[in-house]
Amino acid sequence: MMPRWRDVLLEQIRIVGLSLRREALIVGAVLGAGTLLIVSELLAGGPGFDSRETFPTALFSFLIPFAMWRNDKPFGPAFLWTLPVDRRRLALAKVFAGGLWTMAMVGVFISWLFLLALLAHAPALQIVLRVPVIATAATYLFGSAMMLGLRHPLRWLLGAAGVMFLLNNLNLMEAYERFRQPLPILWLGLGLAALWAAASRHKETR
Amino acid sequence: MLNLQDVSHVYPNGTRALDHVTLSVPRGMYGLLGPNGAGKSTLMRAIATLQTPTEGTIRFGDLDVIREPEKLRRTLGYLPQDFGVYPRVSAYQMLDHMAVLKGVASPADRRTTVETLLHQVNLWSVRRKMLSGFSGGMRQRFGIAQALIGNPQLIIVDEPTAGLDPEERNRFLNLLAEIGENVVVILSTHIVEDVSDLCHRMAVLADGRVQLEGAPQELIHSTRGRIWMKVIDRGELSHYREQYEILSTRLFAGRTVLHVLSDRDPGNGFTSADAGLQDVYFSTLAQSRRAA
Repeated sequence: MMPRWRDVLLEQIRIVGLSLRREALIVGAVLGAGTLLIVSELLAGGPGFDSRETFPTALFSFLIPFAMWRNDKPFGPAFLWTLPVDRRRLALAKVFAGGLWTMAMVGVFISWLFLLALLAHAPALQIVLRVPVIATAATYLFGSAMMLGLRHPLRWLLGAAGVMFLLNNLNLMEAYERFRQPLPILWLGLGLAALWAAASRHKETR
Repeated sequence: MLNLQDVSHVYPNGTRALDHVTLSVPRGMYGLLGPNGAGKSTLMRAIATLQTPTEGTIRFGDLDVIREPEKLRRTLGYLPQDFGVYPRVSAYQMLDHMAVLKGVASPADRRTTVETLLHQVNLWSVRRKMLSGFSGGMRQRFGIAQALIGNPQLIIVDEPTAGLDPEERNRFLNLLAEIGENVVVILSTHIVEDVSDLCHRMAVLADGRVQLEGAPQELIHSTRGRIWMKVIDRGELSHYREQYEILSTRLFAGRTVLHVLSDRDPGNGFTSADAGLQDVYFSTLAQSRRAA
């Protein structure tokens, strides 16, 4: 039997969602703790929000692929490759599913931010627009490209370098997106290209 | 029937893992025995379409496995040595996932398949447990359940009982015996008892070559009268090694039981021993080493 492509895609969305429950719980816990902090500050008469705050969504989305793929062996004779599904398509379906869940979590974060900003009588729309959504999608693609295209230990070394880079440039990313710089779009394009190149390594040749 | 004709595989570093392997594997349980590094896993991967051999042909019925791997995958069940995907997903969810990827599209069919298999491998009571919390035996039974999705005609199990305790091993072997009646099942192992307990036919692989092939009972019969045993003190072992071709040694009540291969009575207190598959296996390996 050959599985239908649509079924494979929907199944990947379901199973990746199930496998990311721990990460979703961590996000929930962080948002819960943040809510407590901000609300308690608001009740104490404080501003609740600091205009210098940054939102590490791009770092979070860069790390998601590492959580998603860490038990897979995309290189070599992996067990999943004995299934009647094209291996490159299966890998890309998984990346798509992970991207969907990542952006869903970013959506939850933005909603949370918006509601708290309203509660604090802060400029909610301005605060929400500072979230670097395009950079977040781009770093997810770069993380996925690393997991699909690089072998151990190169993926971990470059992954660590990526984390360091993102930690140092979160402010910059927000600034780029806020001032409508073309750079985030360029990153997105590069991320897609990197992902395509990485996925091509899994094309079956005979 | 699965047919392998002159299958060879040379890795990029020059290692020849398979050297002109020719085998015919009929329906039923087929054992592939060999020491570590014999080429068993390479052969299993080649049959499972995970690796393209550098030479030779593999056919399953009318199907050319090397040219049309995707067609074999529709009818293949594979239990690898390890499968490390989604350990934080329950057994039921993972089996359902595998069923989708094997093309069981209808949710109702999938439910029936998953539930039947979980009952068959005796994992129904732990169906909601995460795979990461499974014992080695439970994982192997889960592995067999996923290999059975879609009624495969060819099932490959690679070293399935390594690391299992005796009770789990026994349960697993009973399960394999049940499924091995109507399809081709290849059991790759270095544990001789697994083959003697289950398989109608077997081959011994060493140095990438088939050294011996046949029905276990026939092979045991052919060695009858050539296996001799003696119980000695451990300190005498080196002396005996110099004088005889020792097939195996084991300890019993603190003393060493020797098995040697000889066409004639070696004298010196040796008595004729009932040959077992282990003797056949060790004698084959000894001959292979001599030939090398």
